[in-house]
Order: sequence, then structure tokens, then C-alpha cells
Amino acid sequence: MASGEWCLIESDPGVFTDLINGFEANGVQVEEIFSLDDDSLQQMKPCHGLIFLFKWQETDASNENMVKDSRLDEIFFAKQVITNACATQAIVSVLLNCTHEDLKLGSTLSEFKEFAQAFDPQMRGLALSNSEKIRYVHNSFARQQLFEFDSRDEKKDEDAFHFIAYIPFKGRLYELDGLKEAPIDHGAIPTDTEWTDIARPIVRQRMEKYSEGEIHFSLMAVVSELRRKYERQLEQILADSALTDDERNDKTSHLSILIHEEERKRESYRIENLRRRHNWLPFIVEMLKAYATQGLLVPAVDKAVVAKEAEKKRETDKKRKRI
Amino acid sequence: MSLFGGVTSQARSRNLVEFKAGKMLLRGTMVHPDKRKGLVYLYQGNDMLMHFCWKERSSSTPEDDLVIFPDEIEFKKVTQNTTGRVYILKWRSNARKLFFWMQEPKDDKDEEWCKKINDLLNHPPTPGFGDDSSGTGGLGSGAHPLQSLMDRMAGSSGAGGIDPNDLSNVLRGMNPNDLASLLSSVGSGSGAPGLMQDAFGQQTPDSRPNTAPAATRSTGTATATATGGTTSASSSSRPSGSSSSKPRNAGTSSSPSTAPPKSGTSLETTTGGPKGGPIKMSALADILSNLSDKNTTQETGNATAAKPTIDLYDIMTAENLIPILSNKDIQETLRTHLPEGSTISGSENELRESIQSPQFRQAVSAFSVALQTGQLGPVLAQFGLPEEAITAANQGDIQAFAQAMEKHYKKTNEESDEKKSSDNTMDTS
Repeated sequence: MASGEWCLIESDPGVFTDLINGFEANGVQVEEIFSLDDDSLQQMKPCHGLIFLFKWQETDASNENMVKDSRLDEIFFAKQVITNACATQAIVSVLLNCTHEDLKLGSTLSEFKEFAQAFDPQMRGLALSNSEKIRYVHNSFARQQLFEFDSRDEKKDEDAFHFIAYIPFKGRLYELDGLKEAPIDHGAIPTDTEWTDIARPIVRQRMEKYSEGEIHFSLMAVVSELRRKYERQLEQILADSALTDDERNDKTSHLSILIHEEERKRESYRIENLRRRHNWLPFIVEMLKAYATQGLLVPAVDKAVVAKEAEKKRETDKKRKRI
Repeated sequence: MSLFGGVTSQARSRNLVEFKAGKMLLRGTMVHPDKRKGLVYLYQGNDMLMHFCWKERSSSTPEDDLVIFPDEIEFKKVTQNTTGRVYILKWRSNARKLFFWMQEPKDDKDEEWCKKINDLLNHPPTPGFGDDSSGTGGLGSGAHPLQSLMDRMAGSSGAGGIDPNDLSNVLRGMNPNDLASLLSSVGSGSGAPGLMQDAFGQQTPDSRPNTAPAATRSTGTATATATGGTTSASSSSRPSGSSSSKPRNAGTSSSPSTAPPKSGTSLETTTGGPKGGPIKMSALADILSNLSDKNTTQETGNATAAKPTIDLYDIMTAENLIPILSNKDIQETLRTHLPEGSTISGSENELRESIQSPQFRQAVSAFSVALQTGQLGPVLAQFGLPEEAITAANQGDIQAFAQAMEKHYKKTNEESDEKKSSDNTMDTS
């Protein structure tokens, strides 16, 4: 029933941030979290959602603490309908459940929210997969398909991730897993506690489980736009007459570095996007011509073939020994 | 869903390996044996896919029937448990695991079965050209090499024919030479091949004139267009869109043209063709045109399977890049092909960064695979590359491609260098 194709996109904070902006939502960005233990989450607050991605299409079977009451009408939860769309689905889920003032949802997402709010999770999933606008933006981040076939038929499938989102909603922590029937309630968030502190052990448990199975995973956080935050802080410091000049200089230079870092990040996302959408065929052809002209092509190709053959032999030998 | 109204074939080979084993159940972090008496077995479906199954011995249907692709799993003995004979079926790309415990009274064959499971799942037998792993029985000498396939397709193995979806799977799994042979047998009509025609001969009044032996004209037409079909399927470089309609036309247009009587000198048994459910030419044509569109990768991939596929990105090492990037002319040319808006400084570093970017890397990988599966011929021709290189590209032969490129461009370069040096009679120092 879902019409239109959704392409595979990279699971990359730059892509996700640009995706959000593509939906005309503003005020937030996506950052990758490498460790739950250090201060990174603290530094990046306010955090509006955590997205846990792992390379596994299935999900565990437990149905504990599944929300079954009227909260289902309030929390925006959609069942996963299309695998390739699940990154967008996770992000949209976080955004549509966020009521923080920093986030400006924009018309596309607001309209979608209104439209789909009254549906059940299955219908919401379908509505999302049928949303032309959202799909269009999603697909604009697809990898360049230079050729008819998909070169990733080598079953490497790096991007077949499954996404699970964790959000704070009205004082409680919820887990949104599109492969399940409903959100999972992980309990109340005590006042004066960061919701991420409550989420931390739960996420950590997942990380440990997947480490055992050697499953690759990543953690992303949807946070308020950092640059804007730093700029506000900068203004405050400049206006703060209680500081000494030295203190002020210290803090402002530190913030300037952070702001500069954000600018650099955005610039690199921009360039990555350009590269992602670019047709590299002419460039590649010119490079091959250049190699040929210099007499480098044949030796390099021959060497690569020999190396590959040797590698294959090693693989088959290894397999035989294992058995 | 079957074209000829018969029972959709679920017939398959005998089990390729089987042994008594029980399942194990994971509870929390512990694994407990399921006490039921069971059987682990492998079979290969009509669609060439490998199935790993477990069933209770008292039952006729499997409780678990998993389709397993090559290199997806590993089956090995669990060494932590030293008392039992526990084996694990482990998926490589995720954490999925299944455990089994041997129930055969003696353990002397455990290792053999284990090895067989791995071998068969990771190197599934290829379709029946003379091999009887498909259980259709051995081939008599002198039988057409595709006989067993045809038998299966026609259901003479007793299963009632083949589902067109299965057919496309089967055809996809064939190597291009056999596929070409199959296709040429569609049109030839004379002698043993012509199996497909026999099949059509049975089916509808329309197609019968098609296959009457005297009607060599229609045969001829069929050959021509079927061959057209052949080329489109096996030599993947040509777009196949248009050819799909031809066989169909051959089917219809030649029927009125053939005078000969529906005397039914249609050839049934003389060539030993299939007797059972025939397949409509048009359906086959559809399937084949789909194949040539989507699956040429795999077909030609099989043809060039001798050499492993390399990734051209591997040749773009830092060392190799030096002479390339230090050449101002090359730099200029390359720069013009960078994405607009990405060149800030326009320096050598800029180029280097682009080349090292993951996006470029992916593009080169995709290019490499496309080149080695023979898909890039037409595209590269548009870039004005030398003819020999295009031929090599059409064949997916990357080494020949490299040689052809050097033959043309290196020579040109050396010639122009020579020319330059002969022009410069004075030393400009």
C-alpha cells in the first residue's frame, strides 16, 4: 500500500541533521555520542531524544511495560512499515514528541503530525511512508545510483540498521521501537533529574547486549542547536558585568572555539552532501585516463588482482581449517 | 500461481544431508535441550535456495525451515560444552544463533555432517546440468544438457511443472553459457534442441503451427528474435528493453503465416521433449527481459567468476596519487569535474580530500563492480574511450580494460612528449 520508493541513506549525524533541516524543522541537530559515561551528554543538553541504531533487523520479543492506555493517543508512535525509511521514522518520532521551545517543527512536520495524530500506530507508519514531502527529502540524501544495479549486493549491507528512540514525555521515559506494537514505558523521571541519566543504564544494557553479539551499533542524540546555544551564552557573558576581564576573555575565547567548531562541522556536512549527490563518473574516467597516461594503470590493476586472488585463497584455506 | 493450472511445484530434491538432532532453547542466558526427537536436514528448493530445516521425527512437516544464503552462517561444534555434542548455527552478520544437540547414537559422523552443512550452505550446488543433486535422476547420454532443467520445468519429474517465479529464479541462477544455450534451443527447431518449442507445441492451437517441423520460416523468425533475446540476456551491455516484445510477436505473427496443417506433426516425442505443462513463450520472454534488465550482474558475474572482483579504489593509494596530482594539467582537468561549490581553495589538497572522501570511495566501488560485470560499455563509449577499452568493458575484463587504456593513452602521451622534445631544439635553461 505504501507507494513510492524509499532509498537507503547513510546513518550519519550530518545526514540526519541536514534531513531535519530539509523537513524545514529548525533549532535542533543530531550528534553522535561515543560514550555514555563522559560529559558529552551533559555538554550537549538540552537533549530531546536518543536514537540507538544497531545492525539487526529483528528486535527482542519482550513486551514488558508496553503502553496500552490513552497515552497512546498522545505519544506519537508509528510502526515501522518500510525498512529503508526507519532512520527518518526514528527522527520524526523524536521531533513530533518534542515540546521544547528550542524546536521549531515547521509546516511539513506539523501538518503531518496533525494528519496522523488520530491514527493507530500501523496507520501512522503507513501515513509516514506515503508522505510525498517527507519521502522526497529523505531520498535526496540517498547515495548516488550511478548504475542500474545496486553494488551492495555483496550482502555487506552496512546501513540496514534498526532504530530505537528514547524520549522523555510528560515526565516519563519511553522507548519507541517501530518493530513493536506500542511504546515501552521505562518509568518516571524524578524531578530535578536529567532524563538522560535515567536512560543511561537502559541504553548501556543494550550496548552490552549487542557488544556480546558483536553487533555494530551507534548512539545519536537529538539536541538543541549548539551554535545558537553558544552564541546565547556568549551574549550573556559579554553582558555580565560581574566578571573580571580575564574571566570574560577566558570564557569567550572558549566559546568562540566551540562556535567555530560548529561552523566547521556544518561546512563539512555541506561538502559531504555535495559529494554525495555528485555524479563522479566523469571524474573517475579522467582519473583512469590519467593513470593510463602515466603507465600506472596496468601494474596497479594487475597487482590488485593478484592480491585479491591471494586473499580469496587465504579465506578458503581458513574456512577449511575451521571445519 | 501456475500458468498451466497445474499444482504449483513445490517438489524439490531429496535431502542433501540429514541427521538426528534435537533443538535447544535459550532461556535467559542458559541453553536447555528440547527433548523431542528431531531431524536436521538440508534441501535445495526448485528456486535453488538452500533450506536448513528441523522437524520432529514424528512429523512430516518441518517446524523450522530457514532459507540460508552463502556466507551467511557458520555451523560448528560448541566447545564450551565438553560433555554433549552440541552444535551452533551462527549468523555472521548479526547475533542470531540456533543450537542443536546430536541424537545419532554414534558420534563418528558428527564432523562429517558438520562439514557438509557448511559446504552445502556456503557453496550450494548449481542447477541441474548433469548433476543429480536435484534429484531428477541422472541424464542419459545424448540427452540435451538442459534436459533435466526442461524436465523440471515441464514437470516430468512428476511435480507438475514450474511456477514462473521459480523459473525466473532458476534462470537467474544459470550461468550465461547455459542460458544462451537454452535460448538458442528455443528457436532452432531442428534436432534435439527445440525443447521449448515442443513445449509450446502442446499448448494452444496458436502455437502449434509455430512448431510444425515444416514451418521453417516461422522457426527462422523465432530463431532470429530468440537470438536477439539471447544476446540481450547474456551479453549484458545492450539494453534489452526492445527485445522483449520480439519473441512475443514471433509467437503470434508466425502462426497465420504458416500454411502447414495443424496436422500435429508437432514433434512431441521425437526429440524427447517435455510432455507435461508447457510454458508460454510470452511469459518466458517477460521473465527473460526482466532478467536482462536486473540480473545481468549475476549472469555475467558468473561468466567472469574466474577472476575475483577488485575495487579500483584500492589502486588509488597515496603513492599512486603523487604523480597524478602533481601534474598540473591533470589537476586542472580533474578539478573541473569536482562538484560545484566544493572547491574552496582549489588546491591539490582539495583534490586529495575529495578522492579520500567516503562518498567518492563508494562511487569508485560502484564503478568497479559495474565495470567488472560488463555494464559500463555503452556508458564509457560516450566518453570517447578507445574501442578496445570498450570491448573489454563489455566483457567485464578489468585487466584487458587497463591494458587497452594504457595502450592508447600512454602511447599518445609518449608521442606528444617526443614531439615536444624534438620541437625544442634549444635548451631553455
